[in-house]
Amino acid sequence: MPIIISIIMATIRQAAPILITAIGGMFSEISGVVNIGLEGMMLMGAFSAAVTSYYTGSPLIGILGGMMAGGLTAAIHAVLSIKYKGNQTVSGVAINLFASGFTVFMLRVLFNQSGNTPTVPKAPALFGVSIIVVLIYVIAIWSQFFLYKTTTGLRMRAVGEHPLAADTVGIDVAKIRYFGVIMSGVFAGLGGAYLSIGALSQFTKEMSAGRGFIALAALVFGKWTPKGVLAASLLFGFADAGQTLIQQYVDFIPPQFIQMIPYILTLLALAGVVGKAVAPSASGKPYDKNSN
Amino acid sequence: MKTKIQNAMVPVLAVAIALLIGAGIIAYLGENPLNAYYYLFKGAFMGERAIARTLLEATPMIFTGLSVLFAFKAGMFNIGGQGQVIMGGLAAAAVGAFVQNIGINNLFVVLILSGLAGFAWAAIAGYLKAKLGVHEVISTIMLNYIAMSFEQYALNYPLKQGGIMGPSPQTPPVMMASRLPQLIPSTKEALNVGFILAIIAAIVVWYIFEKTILGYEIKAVGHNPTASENAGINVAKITALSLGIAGVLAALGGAERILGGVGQYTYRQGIMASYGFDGIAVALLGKNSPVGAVLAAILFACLRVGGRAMQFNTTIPSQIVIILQSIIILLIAAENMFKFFLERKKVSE
Repeated sequence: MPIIISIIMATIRQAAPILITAIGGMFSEISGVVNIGLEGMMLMGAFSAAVTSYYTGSPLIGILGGMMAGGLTAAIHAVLSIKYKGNQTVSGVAINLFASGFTVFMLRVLFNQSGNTPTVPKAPALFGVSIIVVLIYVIAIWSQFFLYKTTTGLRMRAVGEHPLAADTVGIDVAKIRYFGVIMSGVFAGLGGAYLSIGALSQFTKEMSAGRGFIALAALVFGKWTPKGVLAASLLFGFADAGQTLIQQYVDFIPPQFIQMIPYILTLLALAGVVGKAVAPSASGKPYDKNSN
Repeated sequence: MKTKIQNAMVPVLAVAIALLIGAGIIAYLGENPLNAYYYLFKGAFMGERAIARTLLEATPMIFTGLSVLFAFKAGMFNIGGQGQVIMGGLAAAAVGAFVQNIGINNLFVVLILSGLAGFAWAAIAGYLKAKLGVHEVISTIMLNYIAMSFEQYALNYPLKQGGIMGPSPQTPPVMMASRLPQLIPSTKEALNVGFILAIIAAIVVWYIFEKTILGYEIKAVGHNPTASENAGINVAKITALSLGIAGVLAALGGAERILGGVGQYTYRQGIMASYGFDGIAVALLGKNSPVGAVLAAILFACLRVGGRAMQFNTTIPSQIVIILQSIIILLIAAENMFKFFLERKKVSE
């Protein structure tokens, strides 16, 4: 019995950074901007949270620092994608590269280290669960309400599905998209903050370790809805947390094949084998008033 | 003509602006930018060894750059280069180490099978796109991560070299007959015939797009799939085939890392670095032309190799070159920004 409880707890913890980053990706894609840069925004968040926590001594300010860094990184993506109508995939790729270079560069400049920061103050826990995890699940539940019940949420979905129609009824397409993209970075940054000052108490090089891409997978597998994303993140979190357990019972499967599960499931979902996943229809397309 | 010059200006401007931003960062950290860039240039180009090192680093990037370019021409974004490089490299390591001469030249067989592995891997995304309309960006990202896990599996189980202890496993070295000969043995650098193969690949890609019907059809599909379909081109076939060929090109880049002796002719952890992703930067900076890809790959290789020399001689961390590389890509993504400013200038004139 205690094993089951510890697995449930581990699943909830492991799912948290994936969940919040996927929710972030949803904010961006639902308003019509593809975001491949989640991984980099997460890494920037993890780094800044640790650094802010180190210099201020307050992990709570650290959390804010992580969210701000993620938001700022996303703002670059927003300006390129919305104002200059650049290629969103290219911009996302550049942001991932930038984050991985910038964080290691700054490790050397600030701490003269090549792999990690010194130990920094860690975010407090409630009943053994990091407050960042609590915050993440609260935001996840709020996002369901926000996207379906508030004006801004409904406008975001309108802009992502049919920007011209939204524009015609007086919605500022660019403004809504800026909001969506910047929020995606803020949330990815929070996911990163969990990695550095929630789960650990330091930043280590490349610590996002592909979670931004798993989040992208969760977003697709969850069909761009908060409920679906929550379910997908928990499933992927379980694949992660349950690995050791699965190993005990099915030792003929090498662990690497269990790691593949989220990605294979997502491919199957895209292929329509496990329910068809369809992206918001204007996602990835810059909106140009004059060309319509 | 004017637009052609403008087109070529974007990459040059992007590199120049990135170097300027880099100079600002270097100066901010209290070093002389000219001095730092001098060490970078010296490390990358001064002397036979430095040049050999730079060209060696450029080789896989030429292959992956061509791979991304090939898919671009068909209107697709191949983010899956990394997975294709891994699959090609694993195939080369496995066949090169375990399959004895079967009547044909070993090296030839290894290269063919490695290319086929890349073709098969990339064609999964091609098939999903052609038949089911699955966006290749998402599917190739997923395939990358599946390939990375498979790499760990292959290195830890079936291809693991016995008798080697330690945390990072590797494959046994490939047989002599499967190796790519060194180009300048006197430098003791691993620069090998793979570089020549990369140049040949660039010429073949150029030839395909300029002189063949296949190339014409691929470009047509890239421009307008609906019109192509109406004109009688089999769009599904061309789509799957283009990604497959992109996979072959990336896979050969992976094969070169193993057969060329970068890691004592073994496949070891981390040997594929980020060459698949670098291909994206190379194709973008090269403005989608094979010549451009070769030049861009050499430029990025020069930054990498020179960056290490700079870190050795100054207090500037070598990661600054990754920041420069990302700024270059961001600026190219924002190509419209240049046009925006140019047009505004025109209006004010």
